Amino acid sequence: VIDQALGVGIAAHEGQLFGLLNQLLGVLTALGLVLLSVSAFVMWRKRAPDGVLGAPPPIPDQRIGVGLGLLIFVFALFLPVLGACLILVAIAERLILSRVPSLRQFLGLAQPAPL
Amino acid sequence: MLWRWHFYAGLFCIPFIILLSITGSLYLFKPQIEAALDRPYTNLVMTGPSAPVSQQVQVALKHVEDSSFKSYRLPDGPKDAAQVLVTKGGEDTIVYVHPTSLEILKAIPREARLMAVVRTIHGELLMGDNGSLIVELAASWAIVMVVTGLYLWWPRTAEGLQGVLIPRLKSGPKVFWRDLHAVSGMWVSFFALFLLLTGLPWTNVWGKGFDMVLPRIGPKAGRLSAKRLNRPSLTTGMMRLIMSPMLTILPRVRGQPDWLHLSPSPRQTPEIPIGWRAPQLETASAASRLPLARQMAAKSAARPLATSM
Repeated sequence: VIDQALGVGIAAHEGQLFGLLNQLLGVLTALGLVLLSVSAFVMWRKRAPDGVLGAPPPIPDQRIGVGLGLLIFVFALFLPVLGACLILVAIAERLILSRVPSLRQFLGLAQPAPL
Repeated sequence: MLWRWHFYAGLFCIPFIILLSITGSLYLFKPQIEAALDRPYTNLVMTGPSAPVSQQVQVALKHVEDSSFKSYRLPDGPKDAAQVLVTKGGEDTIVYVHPTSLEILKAIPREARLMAVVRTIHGELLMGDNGSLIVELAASWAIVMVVTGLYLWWPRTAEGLQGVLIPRLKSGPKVFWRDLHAVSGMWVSFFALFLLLTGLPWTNVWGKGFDMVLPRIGPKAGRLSAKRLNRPSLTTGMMRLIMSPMLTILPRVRGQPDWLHLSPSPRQTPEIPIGWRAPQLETASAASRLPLARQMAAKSAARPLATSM
């Protein structure tokens, strides 16, 4: 069953499952993703002040609830590369990024917690 | 907080999403594009009966020195060039052989074909395993983007469909871009998520991990390896399996070409196994031989066959 599901998924991904419509769906999705990227970029440039990245401001002292924490954990398990990246970014933010004032300001990071 | 994640992830993902969208769109049309690229090698001017396959293979082997024979692709039509796959030092080359004159029409390394290059960009950004890792990372984050994006879009205050399912395009630039993003994102999310998830088996980390997990959850274990997925043959095989009922309804929808695997050793004379589409080939070429023989006498003198590369 898993083999078959995988096979169907792969064929659909390559646009070979049900002919031209499959190919067109793929292209439409790709176009949609490009549209998303472009509109995201425009919104960012319109909003971002000069000299900083223009990240959304951090909400002070927001803790991650159990539900969200669990969700992040499941995602990190299911997508190991994402999990590794999360750990690396968390370490980098703790140790370096939020301790260099200019970097912190540019990236829009919160004040670091004392070590 | 999720907006911040969405933002940082977006900064990283956007270049890759655009690149993967473009290369992916191109690759979707691989059958059509390859057919168009191969058109010069179809409908050839025939000067008599086709030479035996063994001779066609010999010519191809001679063209790429010290190569050994790998496979022979049965031409789709009786007037198409034969494609012989030869290999030398780990590199496969496709040699297009004229079926009657045994002229080499084209020889191209398998990985240098346009669609192979597009696939390599799509799968590993032309950077091997490192590129594959970056693609996997971008895809993983893109999944997070879709999920957090949907959460951010989720309508909390009901104000009708405007700005939720229908973009408000005439309410100022800010609303315009916001709606363009949020509304198209909602429409695209399902399909994007599907493509992102079905792309995972190709990746190195997820794909290999899946291969290791699969034996424990499925009885037909371990038949699919992520590395094997990169090769078209398995994919083609599976596609054919899935599509076989559909193929009877839609005879024109075809997957990748049939590579007929003959003897792997160059010393042996390759033979077409009896019964494997060979009769069809025979009758087709026999039927086209008669009227062609006369045409050719006039044409071949006037228009010599183009030999490229």
